[in-house]
Amino acid sequence: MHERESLTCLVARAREGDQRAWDEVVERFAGLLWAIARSHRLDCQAAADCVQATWLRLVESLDRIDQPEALPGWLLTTARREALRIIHSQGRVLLDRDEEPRDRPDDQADDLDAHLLASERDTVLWRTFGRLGERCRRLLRILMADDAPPYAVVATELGMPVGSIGPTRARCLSRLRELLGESGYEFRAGATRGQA
Amino acid sequence: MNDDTTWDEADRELLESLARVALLVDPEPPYLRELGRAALSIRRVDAELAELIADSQLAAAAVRSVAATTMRILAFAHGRLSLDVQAELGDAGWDLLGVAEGVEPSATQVDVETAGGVVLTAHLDVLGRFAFVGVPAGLIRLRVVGAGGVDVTTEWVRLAAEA
Repeated sequence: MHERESLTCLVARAREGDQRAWDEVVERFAGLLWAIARSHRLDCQAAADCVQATWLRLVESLDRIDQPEALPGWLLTTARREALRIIHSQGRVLLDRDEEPRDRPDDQADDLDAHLLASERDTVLWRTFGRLGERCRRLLRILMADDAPPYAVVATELGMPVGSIGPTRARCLSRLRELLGESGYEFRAGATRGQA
Repeated sequence: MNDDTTWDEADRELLESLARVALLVDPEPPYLRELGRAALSIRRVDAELAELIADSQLAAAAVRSVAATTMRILAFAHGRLSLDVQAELGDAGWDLLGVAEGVEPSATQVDVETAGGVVLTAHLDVLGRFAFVGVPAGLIRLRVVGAGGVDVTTEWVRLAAEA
């Protein structure tokens, strides 16, 4: 793999109208933005709107980005605001962040096309993930992304002290294991491969 | 995933499994990166940006009613320019009625631009008022162009597809 160009360079080139530099920015963060949008339980169309709005806002703000290296945080904040705007315009109420929406089926899990998955085990994993509370799903979804922002950024976004990201991640994964356990699947070390 | 050395191996594997499944069951729509790449082309270099300073949709947070979703009041400002817009959802999209202040009405036009590149143009009447009919739902922005080098673009706002 070649050395990745710094965000400072990419943003500077994009400002000059360099399409390839901009494309690279899009490639780098598209997965993260999608993850953020979907972690707010936006449906596919709304999540796509959220991501597109974030790109448009970045374009209109390109000249005002003072610290290009902090771009992941800027994108995270902007995408979250867009998501909240959409949620608001849909008349939805944001769930309490730690509440596990046990009683209603998860909309993302509902979208699930089980045929896509190699194993029932994956299906169970994804459905169970959808049963976690908002905060856990959001945190894990962000950490899953290829270019997950630094913990300090994630912490600000989720309103948590930076030191609690690691422990919260561990607690969320442990809760996920617990829920998976109820479904009869084991997801311990060494058990995540094989059985399919 | 990189700036933390406290990872438990089992946790890492579980998160990797989740990431793999997420890519399979919840991929980005293929057109989305294309839209992202195209965003640069509608950049207006050195554009003067009018900020959204009031939005009835946000003000109506506590009380939701049908009126709050089919009627929206937006206000933008930049320097001496102010734009007040009332948007109403009609049968064929959004109808906008607005007034621009701080510009010379006889020499000013207002455009509505959609993220998809559609541009509608209106001229101000003597009182600075303008109107658009059937603006498509989605992300839009307004651009005010007039005499004396006035060229101001508002930030993007999203007009909801339905009530």
